[in-house]
Parts: sequence; structure tokens; C-alpha cells
Amino acid sequence: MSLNDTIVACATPAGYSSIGVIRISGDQTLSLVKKIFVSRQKIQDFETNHAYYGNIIDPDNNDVIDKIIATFYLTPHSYTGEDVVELSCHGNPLIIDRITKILTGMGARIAQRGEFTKRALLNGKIDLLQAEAVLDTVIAPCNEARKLAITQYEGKLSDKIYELRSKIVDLLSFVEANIDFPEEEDIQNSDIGIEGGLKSIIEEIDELLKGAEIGVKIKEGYKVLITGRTNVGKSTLFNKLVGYDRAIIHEEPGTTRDYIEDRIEVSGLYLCLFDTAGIFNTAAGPDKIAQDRTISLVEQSDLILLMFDGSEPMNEEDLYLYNLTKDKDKILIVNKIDLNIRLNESEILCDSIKISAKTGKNIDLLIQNIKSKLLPKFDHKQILLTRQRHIDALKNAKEYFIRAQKAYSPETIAFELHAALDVIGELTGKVMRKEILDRIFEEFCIGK
Amino acid sequence: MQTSKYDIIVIGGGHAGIEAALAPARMGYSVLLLTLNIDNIGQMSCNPSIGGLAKGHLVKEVDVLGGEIGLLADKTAIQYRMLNRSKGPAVWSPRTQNDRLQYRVAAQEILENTKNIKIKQEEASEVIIDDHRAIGVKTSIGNEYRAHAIVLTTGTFLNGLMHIGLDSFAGGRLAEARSFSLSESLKKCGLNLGRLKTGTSPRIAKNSVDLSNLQVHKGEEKHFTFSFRTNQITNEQLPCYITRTNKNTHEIIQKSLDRSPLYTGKIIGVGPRYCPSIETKIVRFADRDSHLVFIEPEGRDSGEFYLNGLATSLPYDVQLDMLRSIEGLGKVEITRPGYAVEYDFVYPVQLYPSLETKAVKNLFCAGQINGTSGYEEAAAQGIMAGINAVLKLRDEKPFVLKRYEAYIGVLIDDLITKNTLEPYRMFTSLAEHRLILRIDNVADRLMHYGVKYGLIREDEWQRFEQDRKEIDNAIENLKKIIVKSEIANPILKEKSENEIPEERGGQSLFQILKRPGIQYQDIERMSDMKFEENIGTRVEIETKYNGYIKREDEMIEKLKEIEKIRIPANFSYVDIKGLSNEAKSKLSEVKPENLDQASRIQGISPSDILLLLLHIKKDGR
Repeated sequence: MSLNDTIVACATPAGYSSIGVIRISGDQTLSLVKKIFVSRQKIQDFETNHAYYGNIIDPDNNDVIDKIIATFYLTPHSYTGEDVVELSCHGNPLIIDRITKILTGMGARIAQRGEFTKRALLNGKIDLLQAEAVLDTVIAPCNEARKLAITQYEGKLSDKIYELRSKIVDLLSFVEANIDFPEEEDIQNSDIGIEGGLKSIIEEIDELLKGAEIGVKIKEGYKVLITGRTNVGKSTLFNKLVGYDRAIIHEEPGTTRDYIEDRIEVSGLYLCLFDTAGIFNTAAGPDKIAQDRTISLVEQSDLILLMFDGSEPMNEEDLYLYNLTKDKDKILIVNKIDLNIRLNESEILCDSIKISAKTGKNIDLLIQNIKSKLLPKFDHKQILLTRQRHIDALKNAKEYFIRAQKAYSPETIAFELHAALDVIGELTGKVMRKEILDRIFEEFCIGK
Repeated sequence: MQTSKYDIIVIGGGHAGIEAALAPARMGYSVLLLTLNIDNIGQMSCNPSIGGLAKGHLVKEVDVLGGEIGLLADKTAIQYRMLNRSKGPAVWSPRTQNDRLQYRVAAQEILENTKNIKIKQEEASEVIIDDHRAIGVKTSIGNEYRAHAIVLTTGTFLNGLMHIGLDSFAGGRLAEARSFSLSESLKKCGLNLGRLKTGTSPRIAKNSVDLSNLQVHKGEEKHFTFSFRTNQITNEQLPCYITRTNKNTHEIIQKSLDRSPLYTGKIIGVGPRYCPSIETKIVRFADRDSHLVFIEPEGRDSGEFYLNGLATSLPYDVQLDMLRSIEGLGKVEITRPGYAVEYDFVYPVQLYPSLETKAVKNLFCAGQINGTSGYEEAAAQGIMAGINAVLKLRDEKPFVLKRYEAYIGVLIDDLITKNTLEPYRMFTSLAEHRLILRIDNVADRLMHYGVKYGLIREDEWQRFEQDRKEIDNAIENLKKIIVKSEIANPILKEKSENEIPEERGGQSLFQILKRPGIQYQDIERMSDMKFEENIGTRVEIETKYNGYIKREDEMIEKLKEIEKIRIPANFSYVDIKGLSNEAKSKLSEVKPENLDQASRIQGISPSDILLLLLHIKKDGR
């Protein structure tokens, strides 16, 4: 692969649509476009960030292929930093394929996955964190994840990391000065405050890490488990939340045996919702296996929706489940309030939500509760880290700072700080390690 | 016209020239040393001191390679200080005050008594070139000398211009001629020359100073040696004295800036930021009302003092006024004024790592001509250039030290990958692998090279190996011997270290010595182990730094992987379209040998490196 050639790719999904966008980037962009785009203006008069109307022709026979808008982004004012033209054609695969073929026939190459963003990164238009954010913006599964991605794309996380980096550099330069200029009274008299500096950097990293867990969850999705004894209406609630008849509902107890999973966006959050087999005492055979699965899912889940049947008194199985989920974040739900209430108001249920999964009563209230349980009173501005890579890097860096706190001497403090600086550098891509880059770019889809 | 042939000609008899002449001569090659003044061979042009931060490391490194600077410093030391004792063993920095005259005499003596060296007081005026290859030197009196390799160690003498106030005059040092036509000859060879500036302080008459109220700055009682070949010395030490500038001094300087060559634009060369003149300090740090001045003896029998911290190129009358405003110097007499000197240097990116110029084969440069400052930096390049000149004429692979092997490696790599914009001085912070570039392990790191090139004698090597074995054995024993808690705990308690819990029974001596507060002497108290001082110190350092050394080793292993990605010598950067023009020209100029070196070139970004990697791989297929 060469990084100098001109690349082309369709930026919109395959298939028929009202508009299809072909993007071209590289040194040859203008000379290629010149051969196929006929407009009232001459190509040399096209200004950057301007759109022009005209015809796309086949240069072999002057056949008009489509009437289109071409938008010009000239270097360095483009996404990739190179000359970029976007051809907005009519979204017919026949048109798009034909234009793409003509361009590749003249020497352009079909872009690889993520190649436009890779060029933006290599040309210094964005840093590594922003490149990741571009991907996250494209694939964000829910509104909260999109918000995080955009914040990161805008450079908020990069700013924070650079700020941290410059603090380390400051501290390091103090330490180094102290070592290399032992007879300079200016330096020797200055209070270098290493201890305080290290402490404050560690606190800052902790702050970032605190938000990180939530960041990853927002992006990857929360595991929410619906559980309860048989026939409390778990599948009815599941279907209500996913919005269609996903699970089979029947009054026969134990209709749901193997758990069912679906991914939904609820009120801006991305959830992996699980409907599980009910728990009953006498379970045996496959039912027993199903129940064991439910129990192991309980362990992994971020939130449990524990359901009770409002039309029946509480029994042993209810209490068993209540105890099983004792240490987990959960919401207690009393279902079937459309029927006669025969469930006694026990202490357990004092902050439960009373719904009817069947009629949909109070489902909105439940959703609000789910959201506030999952996204606790947290300042959203503090959630910046969204990837395990970020978390690992900062945890590593923190480890070096802790070692620096215990270090023997200024020279070993400096050693740890340099190590931390390298790790932080990898985060923004300032220190490039080829393998990190390769891994990141594998994740990228075509276009942005 | 006199014509004769040598293996190697060295031009210049300073600290680089001495090593560049001695190494080849000791390797058995004939050497001609050309100097403008035989009496000034080994002259310390500036402060009468050797070593200090990172420079002490360089001296020790040159020493175990078989160089002379350590021995000369040991022979002529008049005060000893180990700087940075509290900051960790990797940055312990030995420094001596030295007798300026004795140093020179000792240097001349060794050169004159070394077989294979001829010394001639003639001005080299031209490098004779044949087909881009240096083949000899013409001198100003019309003689011509032929050689297989030539080493330039011209210091500040290339087109030197001295400044005292607004007066300027040609010269390389006070009252010494400069070398003008050589500069022109180098330009003709295709070398690109730049201009740097440095300066020195006034010297004063010892008997005109009132020392009675000044703070005495004594050396450490304990002597050390730079050279492993020097037997323990016990010469009497001379003290230095400390005084300070004051508001009055600063006013005098402030008022005279219109007669300062630095501040009137007369000096165009760039001076060192780490060693500013007093006028620069006062302009740049106007809020300070006092600066330290060290009054240092010029030598045991000398009638002069050196004023460290007062480098200046102000007019003579201002120098005198300013000095007389300082406590203790009220009636001072200047013996030699401070001055600034501007000189030509060869932009060092024009050199290969062997210090041979890329433009002219068999022509080597070492020392201040490469934009460095300092005797130690000069000596380090001198020995490397000397050895490499020999290897060149033997047609062998050059001797290049890595950044993780030696400060010398850091120094030369920095020079050839970054065009120095100010006189380059060695600092420990320039060494990424500082924790393993220590003075205690200098022989481990480098002595085998000295042996390889025939500069270290067999018996010297045996001595080293014996020490090494002793240290390794001691560390093995430390790991094996478990000391009972009831024996260790009282000593641990005394040293404010955590005691070993009774139920654990004991701990290995190795683990105990790893603790910050425990020294090898404490180990002796807990066990039957006994150490000689030099062995004990090294055992202690290697034990305490065990974890760090392992981490450094891991980093170096990773680095070696990147070093393995070699860039072909004829690689064409111009054809890589994604590279910026700056990157293209820098890379074409430096011609890095591998990807690691390329990554350190100034102005080369990580993305340039990635581009390079992609192209190297493509070409390699």
C-alpha cells in the first residue's frame, strides 16, 4: 500500500437512495475530476469549500452519466489534508459504480477501510483519539454514545490528555533541572513540589478513570436483566421494552427457557436486554440448566429488573430471587396492577415501581428509573474515556506515578515520569507504535 | 617543499586532538599532529576544571576506552567534588579543579613521549583533496604532508574572531593566532560551516583579592580518581571561594550595554544558553539582584584566580569596574580580560556516526569544530575519531556507540541527527537510558571495546574481569543468604526501615540491601560478608537498581527491533510524496542508518516515520 496515490470510495450505503456520495482524496484528485466533471466554471477557478453544479461524463465518449454537485475541499482545508472532492450524484448503484470505475480506470484506487481517516491522522489533521472518535461517531448505537464521541472528536479528551502531558513535562523538567544543574542556586532554591505534583496528577487520572467505566458502558451497552419467578410477566415486559413481539408469551409457566437477548436504545442509552427463564423450586432437567444460566447472568449484569406478580401474594421463590440479587443494582417491579392487587405491601417493596406490562401503564416511569439507575449523578462532562485502550494507558501511567512516589532518588523519579510520558504519548499517538495504529485502523469502516 | 607521508594527520592539539592523536599512535599508526603553538597543547581555554554533570561520565568512558583525559585530570587535580551524591548513583558526577599549567605540561609530555607521534608547529592551511577523498594537508609555510586520514580538531580557531567590548581582532584564544585559510579550504570541499560564540571570564591577580570575608568552598575530603589506571592519590586540595554580584555590579553592566558586542549586534554567532555571560544573565533575569561567583585557583603555583560565573565580553574598563563592585574584589587587578570568541564550525549533520564527513572521504571532525563545547565532549569525540580514522584505513567497520551504551553514543548521535543551534553540551537528561549509563558500570559497558581496539592492556582487562567476578559472586551470595529477623531487625530499626515480621523468620540479604535506607556496610554488620569499598558500592547499586535495570533492558530490546529496520544507504526520500519538504531535506541530509535514528532527527514527525516504514518495507520486497 502506498500513501501517495489517490483514493476513491462511495461514502453512502450501497443500494438505491436519493443521493450517493463519492469521495476522492489525493494528489491526483483535481486532474481526475477535471476529466469527468463538466461545469460552467473552469476547474482551476474552483474554490475550496465551494460546491459546483455540473455533468459527470464518460471521457471516452462524452456520454453524460449524471447531473451532480461537486464539492471541493482543497489542501490543506479538507478532512484528509489532501485535495478532496465529493461528488453528490443520484443514488443509483449503476451511476455510482460507473463513476467509480472510470476514476479507478484513470489511476485512482478504491480506498481501504478507514483510509480517509488514516490520512487525516497521518497528515496531522486529527490525533489518534480523534480518529477513534470518528469511528465512534459513525457507529454510535445510542444518543449518549454519540454525545461522547462528538465530545472526543472535538478534541475534549485530547485537550485533557495534552494538559496532563504538559503537567508531567513540567514536573519532569523540574526533576531534570535539579539533577543537571546542582550548583545553580535558582534551581536548587526553587521548591520543586514533586510530591504535590505527583499527587495531583494521580488524582486527575483517578477522576478520568472514574468516568471511564461509565464511558465504556455507554458505548458498549449496559446489560439489563429481567428476572422474577415464573409467570410474573417477564416476557411481556421484554416485548414492551424492545417494541415488538420478540419473546413468546403464554400463561404456561416456564415458556421462556433459554434466555433471549436484544439490543435497544432506551432514552438515549444503549441496553442489552435479557429475558430469562423464571425461577421455580422444583426445576429439573433443562429447566434446571436454564435457571443456572439465569443465575450466572445475574452476576454479569449491570442492572436487574426484578419482577413480582401484583395479583398474587409473595412466596418463597420471590424471596429467593430477592436474596440472590441482594448485592446487585436493581429495580423492583410490581407487575399486573391492572388486575386485583393481592400482593401484601411488604417492606421490601416500598420503593418498587408498579406497572402493567400488558397495558403499558407506568412503563415510561420504569424507563426513567432505568436511566437514572444506570447513569448516576455524574457530571457528563467528566466522562471522556470510552475505550479499554484509554483505560489501560491511564492505569499504566498511574502505576508509574505511584512508583515515582516510592522511588529512591530524583533520577528514578525521572525514570518513572519518562515511562508515564511514553504511555500518555501513545494515547494521543504522539509516540507512534505501529501495532497500535494497525489495530485501530482495522476497526474503521470505509469513509469516515 | 617538504613532503612526507603519515597514516593519520591530526590538526589541533586541544582536548580532542590529544585523544585523536594518541589512539591511532597506540594502535600502531604513524601520526602527525599539527598545532599553531606546541606550548599550548592541552590548554584549558576556559574554567580550570574537569568533569561535572554528564561530563564526568564522558571522562570515565574515554578512560575505559583507553583515552588520556582521565589520567591527565587525576595527575593535575587540586580539588575533588562528587556532585549529586543525594540524587542517585546514575547521576553522581565527579568533578575536579585542575592546575591549568600542570595539565598542559602533562599533556605535552605524554604526546611527546608516545611512539608514532610527530608534533609540528605549523598552520594547516588547506586540506588536499583527490576525488572527494582527503589525502593530505598543506601548511602556511608551504609544506605538504600526505596521510590516509585526517582528523580536524580545530576548536575555536577556525576563522576565530575575538571580542572585548567593541574591539574585535582575529584569534582563536587570547593572544593566539587563528586559522583562516583552512576555513576557506573546508568550504571548497563542500562543507557547510556555521558560526558559534563562546566566552570566558577575566582572570585576576591572586594577591589583589581580599579573601578574608568570603565563603570558603572546599573540596570533599575523599579523593576519587577518574581513571581506573590511577592509583589512589592523596594530594593536598586547594579551596575555592564564593562571592556574589550585587545591585551596583548590575547597574554598571546595565549602563554599559551600548558597548557590549553581544547587545549591539556585533556578535552574530550563537552562544550557549547553559553558560551565559554575566551581561546576558542580567538582561534576561532583570529581577535577580545577585548572582553567584566562584573564585577558583588557576593552579597550585599560579598567581591567578579564575572567576567562574563572570564570562563577559564587555569593554576592559567595564570589566574592571564591575569586578571592583564585588565583595572581596574591591582592589582587584585583572591579569587577563574576559572575552568572547566567534568561530566557524561544521554543521555536524554532515558527519557519519564515525565522525567522518559525508562530503570528503577520510576526513574526520572532532570537538568544538562539530559545534560542541567542553573539554570532555571534545576528548570523547577525539578518541572516537582517532579510532575510526584507523578503522577507515584498515577498511574495517566503524566504531559507533549506541545511545544505550554510552554518553559518547548519545553525544555523537545527537550531533549527527540534530543540527546544533548553540554550542552542544552534554547533560544527563539527554540520555534516555540514564539509569544504566552509570559511572560505576562504565567498564562493564565499554572496556571490551578498548581491548578490541588494542587500547586497553591485557592485565588491565584481567583486573576488571576479576572485579566483575567478585561482584557477581557477592550478589549471588546476597540472594542465597537469609538473615534471621532477630539479627536484621535491630539494624533495620536503626535505619528507620520496616522490620521483618517475626513469623517470617528472616529475609535474604539481597532483599534487605534493596531497601533505600540500607547500605552495604549494614549488610556486613548482619552477616559474614565483607566488601572492599569499590566492590561494596557497586554491589549495592546493582542490587538496589536491579528492577530498574531489568526495565531498561526490556526497553532496549524493543529499541533494537526498530534499529533492525535499516534504511538503504541510497534510499531516495525525494520520491516519497507524503513527506513534507522539510522532512525530505532533513532525511536526505542526515541519511539515517535505521528507523530508530531517523525518528530522532529534528523536525521528523511520527507520521513521517510511518511513511518511511511503509516505503522501506515496499522496497525491501
